Amino acid sequence: MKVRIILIAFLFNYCFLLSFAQEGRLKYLGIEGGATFIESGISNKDYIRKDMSSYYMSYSSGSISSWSFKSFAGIKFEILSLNDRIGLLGGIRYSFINSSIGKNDYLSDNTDYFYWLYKVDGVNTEYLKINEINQKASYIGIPVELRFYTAKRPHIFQLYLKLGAEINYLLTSKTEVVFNNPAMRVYEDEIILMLDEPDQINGAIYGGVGFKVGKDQKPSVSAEVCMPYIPFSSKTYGIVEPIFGGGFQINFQIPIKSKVQ
Amino acid sequence: MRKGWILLVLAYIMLHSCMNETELKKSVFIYDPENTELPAYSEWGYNTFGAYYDREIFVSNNKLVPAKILVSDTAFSFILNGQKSSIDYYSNDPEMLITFTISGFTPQQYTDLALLNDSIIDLSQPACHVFISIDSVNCTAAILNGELNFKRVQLLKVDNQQVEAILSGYFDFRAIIKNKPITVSEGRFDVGIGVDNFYVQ
Repeated sequence: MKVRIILIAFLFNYCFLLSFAQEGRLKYLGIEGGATFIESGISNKDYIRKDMSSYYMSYSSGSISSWSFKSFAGIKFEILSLNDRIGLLGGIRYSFINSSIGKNDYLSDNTDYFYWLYKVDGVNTEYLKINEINQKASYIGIPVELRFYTAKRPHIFQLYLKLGAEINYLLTSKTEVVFNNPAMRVYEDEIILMLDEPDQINGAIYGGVGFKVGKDQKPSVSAEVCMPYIPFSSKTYGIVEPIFGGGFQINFQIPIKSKVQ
Repeated sequence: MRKGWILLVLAYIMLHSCMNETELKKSVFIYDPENTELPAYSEWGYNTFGAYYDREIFVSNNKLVPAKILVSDTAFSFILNGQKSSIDYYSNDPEMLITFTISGFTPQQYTDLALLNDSIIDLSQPACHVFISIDSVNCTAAILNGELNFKRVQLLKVDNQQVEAILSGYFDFRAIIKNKPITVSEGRFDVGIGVDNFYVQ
């Protein structure tokens, strides 16, 4: 099933880009890599006892933090428009998202764990002390991007703006709980059952600005700052609810059609 | 060698189980979105309480242990200890206590407080007495009507160790205090009672 999805994704991109591939257009094949840090909320808040943050002098609550970090690599084609000002990119992308919930209070008088409401049975209530919950998920996806170059080629250094979107399909997912007391690991499976799992599909739109360095119709390198990164839905990431993110992307491209004037 | 490792692991587990839950004793003050000077009603053992004392505020703070249980031969007292008027941490607002004394119930350990779960006590009945202390000036409240509602009592275990009882509920009453009619309204509490704040005389 997963192999089929990868093939469909690849075929979709190939056909998509081929439809634009007329004679006279400059085309590139490249590899990409990058990372995105995603500001996130907590999905399963109802099980977490709030605490007091020592950052503030007055009453407050909530030093329990959550975040997501996404790293990715992939293969992308780029086809330039006839006036060389717009590049259409598409390809296939493998991404890995590490989401985490934990205590994020660096002042010394607070502990490094939080209380998780594990069981309620009549008048009996049980909490477990948890240091961290980590969820790792890998995806295969299709990125589609548009680059708007600020100057016509040939230029060794080209600035561009970018608009992109991606759809990702979940390949694997693993959740682990770090208990304050290692003897409580026997409850890990039950805690994991209480947690949200990542959805099979997620997606996002993103923008960015970058530059491309390389001689005309020769291999080139481009680097981008990608911000904002906005997920389509906040309910697809499992233990966290993504809000927005930002990151970077590096591309290495080689021209696959060099007879362009 | 193997025995040594087992002993080491057991010692580690015992050390953890003996650890005092200091984090649970701290107050977590989450404001009520409607009665914005008071803590929101909760059942997590946040160690907060609050009520309107006519138009002033009676509320827990970070300096004082918010609740204590004192048991005598014939009665038990539920003591809420905080301050009047302001919730500012560094304010000099007067210390204030409200003590609810109920005859006929004498728990011998804090786990016996589970018997109070989902119980409403009519404060106007003769078995109940309410005492108020403001800035160390004590007086008895002659209750006209009112209730103390232990909506939920939970016996809390953390990492399989019994640590405290969480008492969560509401209170309100109208009373004559020093010849003046006073209304205590919108009272709510969410406090932990453990070996440290449970006293038997």
